[in-house]
Amino acid sequence: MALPTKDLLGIEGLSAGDLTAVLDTAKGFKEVITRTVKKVPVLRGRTVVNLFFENSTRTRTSFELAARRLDADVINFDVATSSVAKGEALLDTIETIEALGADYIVIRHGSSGAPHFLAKAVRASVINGGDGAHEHPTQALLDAFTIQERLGKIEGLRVAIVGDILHSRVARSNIIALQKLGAQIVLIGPPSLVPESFLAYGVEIEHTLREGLRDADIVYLLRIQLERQRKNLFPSLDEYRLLYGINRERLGWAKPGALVMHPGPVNRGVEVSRDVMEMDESLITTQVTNGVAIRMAVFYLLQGAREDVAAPHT
Amino acid sequence: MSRLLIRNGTIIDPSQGIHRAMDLLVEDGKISALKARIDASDVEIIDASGLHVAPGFIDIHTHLREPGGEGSETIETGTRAAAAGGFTTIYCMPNTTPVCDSETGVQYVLSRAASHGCINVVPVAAITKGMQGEELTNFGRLMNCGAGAFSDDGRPVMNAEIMRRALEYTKLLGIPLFEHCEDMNLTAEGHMNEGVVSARLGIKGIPRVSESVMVSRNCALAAATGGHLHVCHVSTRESVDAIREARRNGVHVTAEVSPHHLTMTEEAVIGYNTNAKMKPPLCEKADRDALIVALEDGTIDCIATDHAPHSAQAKDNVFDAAPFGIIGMETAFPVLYTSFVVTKRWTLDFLVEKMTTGPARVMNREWGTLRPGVAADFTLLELGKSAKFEQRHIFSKSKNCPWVGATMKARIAATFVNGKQVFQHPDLVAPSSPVGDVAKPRERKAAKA
Repeated sequence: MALPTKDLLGIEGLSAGDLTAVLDTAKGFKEVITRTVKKVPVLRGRTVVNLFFENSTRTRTSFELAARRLDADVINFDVATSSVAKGEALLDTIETIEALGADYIVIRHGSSGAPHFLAKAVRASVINGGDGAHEHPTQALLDAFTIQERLGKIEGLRVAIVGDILHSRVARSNIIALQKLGAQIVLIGPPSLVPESFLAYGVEIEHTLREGLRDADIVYLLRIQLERQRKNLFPSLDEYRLLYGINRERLGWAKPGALVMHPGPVNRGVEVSRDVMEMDESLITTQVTNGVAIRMAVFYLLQGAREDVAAPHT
Repeated sequence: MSRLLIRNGTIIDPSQGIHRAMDLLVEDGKISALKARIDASDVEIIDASGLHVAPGFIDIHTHLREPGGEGSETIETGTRAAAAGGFTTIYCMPNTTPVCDSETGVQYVLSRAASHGCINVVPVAAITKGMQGEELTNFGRLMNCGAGAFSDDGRPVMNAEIMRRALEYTKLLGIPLFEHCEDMNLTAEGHMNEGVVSARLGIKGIPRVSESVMVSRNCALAAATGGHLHVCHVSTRESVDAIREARRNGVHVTAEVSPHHLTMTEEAVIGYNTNAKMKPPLCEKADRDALIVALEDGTIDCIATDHAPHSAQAKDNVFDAAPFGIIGMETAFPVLYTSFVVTKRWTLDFLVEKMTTGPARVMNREWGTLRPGVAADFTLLELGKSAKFEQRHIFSKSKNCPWVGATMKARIAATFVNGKQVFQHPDLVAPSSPVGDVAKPRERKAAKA
């Protein structure tokens, strides 16, 4: 079993069958990482480069752990970058990485499409670890895995995604993945953060929390970024909490027993109250655990650097 | 006296309503006769059998990058690109380094064009000093030394009071303001049209109102002052509506549209194609349709390329870091001919008019004609044969062109300025031994710098 592409650039382009293949494979790896000896040497002798242009200890650590548990050699490349030089830094780094003999490159970059740009230039398998406001495919895969694991199915579920949809790569990847697996999606947030253009995905849009949460099986909360407030996309964190923050009472607007998810890091007391996070219905820490299993599955299902693929930039 | 006879071609000259086989005689760089059959002795003959002969095209919106941006274009390479596209007169925008806002700047462009250029170049000077949007340039002095229009293209005049004064003052000179209409606050850090495609690609969008609010504002200022506003590269249906309304009310507004806005939509960006990144951004099909209708009904006066060279280094980048703009002079006529004349939406006469007398009328000039007495600026067109447009057909120093690899049904066979041949298509046999300097493809550098 393998994914049909050299790279994992996004959920868009994968079939429902591909998604299921990753979830099924991850199930095996989840079993591995809950053993005492948490390693399977399927990537022994291969090299994974984590190329992070944006700081994210959580995601990088998750990829690193996944690669190490498959016994790969891991190189972490943290590239500090100013917004002015963001394109140049990527071009400069590509040659170095190829020279290091990378088989897999995990890239996180502030520019949408940066992994696509990289994938064209290197032999290695490129894994999108989050690009701009475009996609974050492994997050969506681990979220789907977490739902599947808890409820035994995804098809027919109603998933409410709450928050800054416009700037969220997590939202985009989740919309595409969960729809492909048969879920119904409703997006919730103010019109400035949930523009009508998202209707093209075939989702519903609600601007009030109470309306949007009705009949939801899953309440998926996105992190709200303070920098959006500076651009007047919403007036203040306090107002955001008042209109869209989830607490125990509001969770009651969703279907009884509805599950709560968040890609982290959580602004406690803004997107979600502390007591909700501690409820059994909160899957937030399970998501983190499952992230490692999913990323192991992705490494396993991608072929890594191929000899037959020429690298145009070298 | 030098004499040149263009024989057996099909003359297409919308300024005189001519579209038939005729001979064209050039004497001392001027057109001296246009008749069904001209017999002359002691004359060099060019056999234009199977070709169309049109007045040289006029492009009132180009960027030649000199001075300051010679890495992506020079007046020499830019005029060669123009000649390769059948253009014989082009206006070049002032957003160079330094900005063309002084008499020295205007004179520099003119002197470089005279020494290194192969076609006519008219410098456009800045509306405000340094294009800072604060202080008007010396319009009268700049015009006296050769500026053909004023524009802060690329950095729109945000201050309405400055725009008002500029429009008011240019009434004195009878010269238009070429205004790039864009509200920079609305655009912010947007990189493409805001809509379904930008949402899907996760690219920060430029809202469509960013253009139309400024078009509306500037039309209102033109109405209030009586000045001549020329709206550059119109891209949205709302802007078209605003211009149409203003014209209906007798406001002196003219407008241009680019070949890319007439033929492409935002879908071209999919795949993070940086050769589909330009300002104003490619919009939706409904916008494209509105632009076509506006050109047809006269709301938009002419075609202008907004030829914007950028080096491969700059364009070969992640989408949001790549600069805005594409080159367009080599491909303007072939692309539009293939998209609109081959498909029978337009006549050949209509297309040629929008590239000759259309822009000439905006500038209130007697250009774009083959009338005896005028400078012999014309181009020979091969129409109807399929040919692939390749990178080697680009004469611009930059290759940021979305049409490389496209099949087109028209080629520019040759271009003449003042009766001298300045371009010969490399794949076509010269109709006769060329006269004057023929533009050659740029020499390839042995290694990358």
